Amino acid sequence: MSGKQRIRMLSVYLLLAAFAFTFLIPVAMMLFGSFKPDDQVLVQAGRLGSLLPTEFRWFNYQDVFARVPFARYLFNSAFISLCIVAGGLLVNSLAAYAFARLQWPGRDWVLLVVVALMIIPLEAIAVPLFYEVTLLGWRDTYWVQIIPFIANAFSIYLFYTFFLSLPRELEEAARIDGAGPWRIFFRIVAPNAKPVFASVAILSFLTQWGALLWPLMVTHSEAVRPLPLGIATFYSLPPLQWGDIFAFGVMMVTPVLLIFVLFQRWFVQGVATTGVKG
Amino acid sequence: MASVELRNISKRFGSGVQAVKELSLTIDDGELVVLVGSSGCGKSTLLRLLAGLENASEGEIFIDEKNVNHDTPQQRNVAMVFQNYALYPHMTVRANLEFPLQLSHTSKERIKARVGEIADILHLSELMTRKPGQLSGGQRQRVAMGRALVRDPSIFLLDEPLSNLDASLRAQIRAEIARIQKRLKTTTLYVTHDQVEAMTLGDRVVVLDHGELQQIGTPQELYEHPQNSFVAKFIGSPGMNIVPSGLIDRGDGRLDLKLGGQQISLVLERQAYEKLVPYSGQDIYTGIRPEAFASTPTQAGVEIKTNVEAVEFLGHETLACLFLPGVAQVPADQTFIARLPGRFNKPNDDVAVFYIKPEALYFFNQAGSNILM
Repeated sequence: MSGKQRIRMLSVYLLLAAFAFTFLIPVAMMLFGSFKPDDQVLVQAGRLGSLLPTEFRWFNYQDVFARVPFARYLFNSAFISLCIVAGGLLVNSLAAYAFARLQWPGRDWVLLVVVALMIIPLEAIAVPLFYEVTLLGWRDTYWVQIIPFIANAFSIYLFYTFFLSLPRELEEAARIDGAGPWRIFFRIVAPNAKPVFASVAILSFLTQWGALLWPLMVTHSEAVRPLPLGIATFYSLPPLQWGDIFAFGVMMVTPVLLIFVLFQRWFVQGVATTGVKG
Repeated sequence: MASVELRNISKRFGSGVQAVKELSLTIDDGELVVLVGSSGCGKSTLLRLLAGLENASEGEIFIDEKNVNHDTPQQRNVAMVFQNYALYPHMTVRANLEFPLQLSHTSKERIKARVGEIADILHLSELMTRKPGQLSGGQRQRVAMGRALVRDPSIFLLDEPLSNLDASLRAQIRAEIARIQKRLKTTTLYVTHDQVEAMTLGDRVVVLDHGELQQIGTPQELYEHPQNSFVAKFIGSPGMNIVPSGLIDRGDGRLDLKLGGQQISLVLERQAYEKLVPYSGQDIYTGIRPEAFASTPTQAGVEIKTNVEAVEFLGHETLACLFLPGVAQVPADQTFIARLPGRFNKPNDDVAVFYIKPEALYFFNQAGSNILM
């Protein structure tokens, strides 16, 4: 590598490092702020030099548990997200398989509708959906936060493109071996589609873990409210203590980060595969 | 084991493509029949129709005299080896072999015994714990065969099973398939585009073109008595040379053959003469097998003067590319390939005379049918 190339490489790395630093600062502020006493958090916010806390103390974390039912929020979020992920993997993969492989009248039209549904945001249908669940008497339950989100057009589309890329002969071989459509799906197709299952699981988990608008509309009791709603109410809970809020934030993102780190190999592979084939 | 009968089978796809046209075929119990044809001739479609992976647009399929048009692949008790093997990538070799037996609710002891037996026949015992991704092409091929045979199917279907293997392995596994088929005596339908495979493996060979049956026969029948110019060109390596020509009736019980600029007098048997006479004065095609050329005079051989364009020395034989003199621009359909034993050197003036026995000549009419049959 010549001197010129080395300088160019170095400047590229410096630029990238500067970007990374800019993006990481809010996360670092949240993390370090969660260990600081409240009077230091805002005072030191404008100065990089005092980003690191002088001592690590856990009192903000203890505060969170003392002031709000954090464990309840955490359980609610986990339960709702996991139900949506589990139900979604089953329902959306089966739907996608029906689109990708089974022959039935109107299939291509229905697929077109599903793809079109991807562009409709929740905000656009939130109010009609609210009426519907009110009619059903589902408000302020777990189910109202789970059932509307199990079927997901984007997940179906991800599964669909992946299934199209699987060699058809695998399924034909299984048919000849005597397997029916269900067995072919669960014994042959699903085990060979692990990357897309991982991608869909992580994507829908992330979406649900951060959901705020819908829970805000349909829940009012602490018993069924999830974490994002918890942190939103925590903001407005006097006295306003930033250290506590940061501690809440850290505890809220840690599970998601852990899941992402654990599954990131599959996740990246899945997104890459589905991306190319789509 | 079972016999198979296809009655007037047609298959049209939604796009309007007719893959198989009114095809009838009978396969005897325990027979190995090879379906051969160029790609897109409908041979794989025919196999899939028999397997139950596709439904016939018209016609009936019988297995052991039972109409199976509406039966599932499992009810038909067929097994199939796919071109890309279609082994289940997430299962070990053992699990791949066990899968069909588990689906037919075979007892655990029976599964174990049967899988062991098949593993022995196909030399798979060492590979049982590996996954398909960890196997070589030849090993995968054997596992695919094993998975098909493990159920003891009544019909064994193979769709170009050797096309993904290299040449030396292909010959080896071809022999193995023949050995296993002879041993198990399972009725087998084997699809290939490779006429060498067809000739070496098949009890009978079925030649297909554009979804239509061209000829059924033993390899020898197809080679010696092709019904039409397609079969003549397809069977043999290289295939038969077929060139435009003409016949002239000399009136004395003899015919003259116009070949390029030459007029060759033919002394033919009475029967052949009578079949050919109606075509005198018409344009026909003459077929000569590459093996029929002799560079030294043979008894009763007719002489053909040729220009030698190129020779390829292959060690035990030489392939010579020839054309007839007097033609300025030689179209591809008027060049010959001659297959000569040993070494043959290109003459300095490029002119060479070859000798061909009249009975080694084939004649096809404009429609391509063999006039002498």
